[in-house]
Amino acid sequence: MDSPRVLLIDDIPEILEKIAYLLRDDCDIVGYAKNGEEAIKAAVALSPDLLVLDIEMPIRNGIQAASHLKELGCKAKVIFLTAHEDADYVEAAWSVEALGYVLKSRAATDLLPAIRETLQGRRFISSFQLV
Amino acid sequence: MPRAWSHFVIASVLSCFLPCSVGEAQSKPARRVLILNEVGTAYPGINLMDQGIRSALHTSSYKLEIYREYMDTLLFPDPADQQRFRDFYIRKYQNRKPDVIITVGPSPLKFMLETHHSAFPGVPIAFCLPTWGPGTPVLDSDFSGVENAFAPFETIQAALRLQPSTKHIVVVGGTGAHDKLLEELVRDRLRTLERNFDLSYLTNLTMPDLVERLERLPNDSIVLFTGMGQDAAGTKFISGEEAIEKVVAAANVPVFGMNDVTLGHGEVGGKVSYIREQGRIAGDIALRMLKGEKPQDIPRARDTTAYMFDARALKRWGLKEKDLPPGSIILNRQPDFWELYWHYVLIGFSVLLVQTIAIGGLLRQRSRRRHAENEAAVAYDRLRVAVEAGRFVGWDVDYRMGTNIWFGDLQGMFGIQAEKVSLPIGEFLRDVHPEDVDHVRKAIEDAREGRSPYFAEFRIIPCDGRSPRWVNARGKFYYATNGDALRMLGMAADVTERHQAEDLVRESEERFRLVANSAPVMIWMSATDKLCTYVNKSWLDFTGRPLEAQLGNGWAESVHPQDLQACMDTYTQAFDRRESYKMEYRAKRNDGEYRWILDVGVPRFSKDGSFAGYIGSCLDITDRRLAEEALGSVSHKLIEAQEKERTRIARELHDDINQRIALATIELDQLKQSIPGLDNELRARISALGVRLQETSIEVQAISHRLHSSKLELLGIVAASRSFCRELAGLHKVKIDFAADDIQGPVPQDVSLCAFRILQESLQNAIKYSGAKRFEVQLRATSGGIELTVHDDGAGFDVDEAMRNHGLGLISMRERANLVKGTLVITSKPMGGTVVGLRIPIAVNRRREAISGAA
Repeated sequence: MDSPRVLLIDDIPEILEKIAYLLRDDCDIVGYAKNGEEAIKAAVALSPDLLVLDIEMPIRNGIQAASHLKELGCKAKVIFLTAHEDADYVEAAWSVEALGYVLKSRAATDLLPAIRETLQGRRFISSFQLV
Repeated sequence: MPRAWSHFVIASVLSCFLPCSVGEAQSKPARRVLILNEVGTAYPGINLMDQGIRSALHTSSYKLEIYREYMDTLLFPDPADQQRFRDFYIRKYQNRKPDVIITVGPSPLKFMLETHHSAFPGVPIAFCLPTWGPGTPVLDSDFSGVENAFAPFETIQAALRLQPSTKHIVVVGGTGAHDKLLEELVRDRLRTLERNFDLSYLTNLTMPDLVERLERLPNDSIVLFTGMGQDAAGTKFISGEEAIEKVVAAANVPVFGMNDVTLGHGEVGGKVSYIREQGRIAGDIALRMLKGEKPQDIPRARDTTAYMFDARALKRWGLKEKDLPPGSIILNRQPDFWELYWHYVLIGFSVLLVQTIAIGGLLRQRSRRRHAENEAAVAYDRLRVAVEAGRFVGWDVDYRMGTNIWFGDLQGMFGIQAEKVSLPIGEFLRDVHPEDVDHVRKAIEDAREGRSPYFAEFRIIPCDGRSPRWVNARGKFYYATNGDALRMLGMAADVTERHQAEDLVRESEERFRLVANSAPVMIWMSATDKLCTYVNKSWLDFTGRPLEAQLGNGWAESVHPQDLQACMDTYTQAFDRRESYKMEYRAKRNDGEYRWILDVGVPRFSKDGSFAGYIGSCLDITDRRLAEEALGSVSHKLIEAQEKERTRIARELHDDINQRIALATIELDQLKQSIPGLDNELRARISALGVRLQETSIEVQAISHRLHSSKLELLGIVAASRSFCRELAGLHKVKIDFAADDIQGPVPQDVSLCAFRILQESLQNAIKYSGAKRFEVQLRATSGGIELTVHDDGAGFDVDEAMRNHGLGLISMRERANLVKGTLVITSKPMGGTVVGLRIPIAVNRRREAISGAA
């Protein structure tokens, strides 16, 4: 199977860098974006298989961007990668049809399994230590 | 017989010389009328018939020659005699032919039937009283006339009505030719009664026998008298009345008859034939014949009959008028006392009535006069009592007598110890205060000249040395017909106390005005009609307008047009409810600048508790308002700054610290994976380090969340509020019921932040102070905004007190609401729970957000 084409979106460059490193062997990173607005443009332009998307970002947050992309008919799978260990955010993620919810602190262990699951059309969620 | 003949001759001779001339005009053409009678004029029936004929002929337009002849069949029944009479009459009129012949009775008619063709050819013949027997003869075209209308059956019917017990009917008649004809006719008509009654005919008796029979008739009998010219003994009853009078005198039961000839001679009556009328009809027919009408063209008439009775006979037999057939004619009724003397009785009664009325009127007048006198006495007593009790003084000036009588409380008013004094006119002016004399004199003159009521208020100087008394006097003049004043009556009251009270009020008002005008606030008063009646000097100074311009509704002209409606509404509504009010509005100062005024009004009440209007004060609070606004703006800025700083720190924590921790955690995980052969102890330590880092991250995130809820921005007000309620409930072990509408459309950041902060503040306060364990939070979309309600059933608190003392939390909530033009209402009472209600409009904040976004 070909490597999945992945678009990474986070407003913190170090995070983008780290995630790209984590995915270097298994994914084709087609682009980066640092806010929701850029994410929408890049997704429309690049048609990735998957979006790894932070929630809390300037201009337009991850939930809003994912919601808008659905309205535009974007078929890319969405995984939220966030520091919020909170059920409300998980619920909001599902409401915009995301399939994965991965905590940043668990990215090293959870992100690749999450990518694999979502590409199969299944949901993935990091196990919460505290709710 | 020779005697009879001599009568006949004389009668005939006389009749030749005595043709009656009817109609005086000589120019009229002459006509001859021959009247042939059955019997002589001694018979009243013949006379009646003749009267009737003459009354008809009298109307003729001809000069009539009337010839009367008599067959006298009763006196000369011998056929030979009758033949001689016939021959004589034929010869007599051979050369003096009548133009018309009238026959009265059956014999003359028979005479004409047998001879007229030869003796009187072409002469028309009018008959009456024909009394056909059975077998009416055939009359030719020269005859016409009146048929008899004898009604024996109807007469008997009427008799039976009057005497219903009747069982025997006795018919009385004579033996003469005419009598026999009538008997035959009656027998024929009464045949039907034979079945029910004992019907007998006493028609062939001598008068003495008849009388004897009639005297012994059974009680339940009646007699029908048909007529009697001759009895069985051959005795003739020439005068007609003779027979009926004997019959009536003899009969012990009522006698009824069939014609009006015998009526009036003791007979009761019956359905009788009018003989005179029959004669008149025959005369009419004769006249028509004279005028040339052919007899065959003149239909035969019928005699008229009527129910006719004699009141004297009815009375004699005790028969009741009410039992008579309807329409009966009653003759010879004796008028009773009332009928005879009714006019005298009426006049007498009228005189009596008039006298009674006059006497009644006089009595009534006397009673009224006495009543009026009594009333006058009572009225005088009433007046006297009133005058004395009311401490009034009355006067009565008589200009003719030149006297002036004073009465009443003279002691109180004038210091005179008397109930009544009489003074010369004008004398009393001496007691009037010198300053008022002219005024009083003029008032009296004006009233007298102008014929108007007299009224004056003036001072009297009492003669007992007291200070002057104020007097209110009212009076009225009475005039003679020539216009001169006759009398003047009047009443005066001591009104000194009222004057003193008025003086006190005046003083009191002056003091009030002095105080009011020197007060630094503006003071106003209004009456019960809401209109302004007073403003003090401060008000006039503030507006720079004269007093007149302020009174009524004039004060409203100074109010700012934008505030006027609300101002008037507040004033009117409070006024109508008699409630105090407090309001702020802008009013124009004398320099044209609008100043903020605090107006406080309270209702005024009189001593008796009746509403008297409003009094109020106004204060220029412009400077205070400016300070408040400045303060408000500072606290707004403070809140904004605080919020900004919180957001900044929260972002720092989240975006920097937390991200670093996340990166460090990722590094640790990578480290753990990248070192092959790492012993278990080291691996466990690295894992523990990772967990600690993660815990730190969560705490940092919680701090960041408390400082500034990123959830509010990311997930919206509903999700953020719900999440907050859940967290708080978990933290404090309480129950918070959260309910929310699906709020459509984006909610401006300011609005959701305000609602969120007030939710946080009120819930935290409630948990901290109310002791409640259960809370209700509702977030609703309203028309044009959102509404937040936080309710607890805890201890409650005094809101005003809390605001004054430790209400920083409450004050900041109110400030936050103000920032977004929201309305915060806190309702609470000790032990009664608390409700915090917040309403925020969205549209206005959305516009503001757009403006600040654009800026």
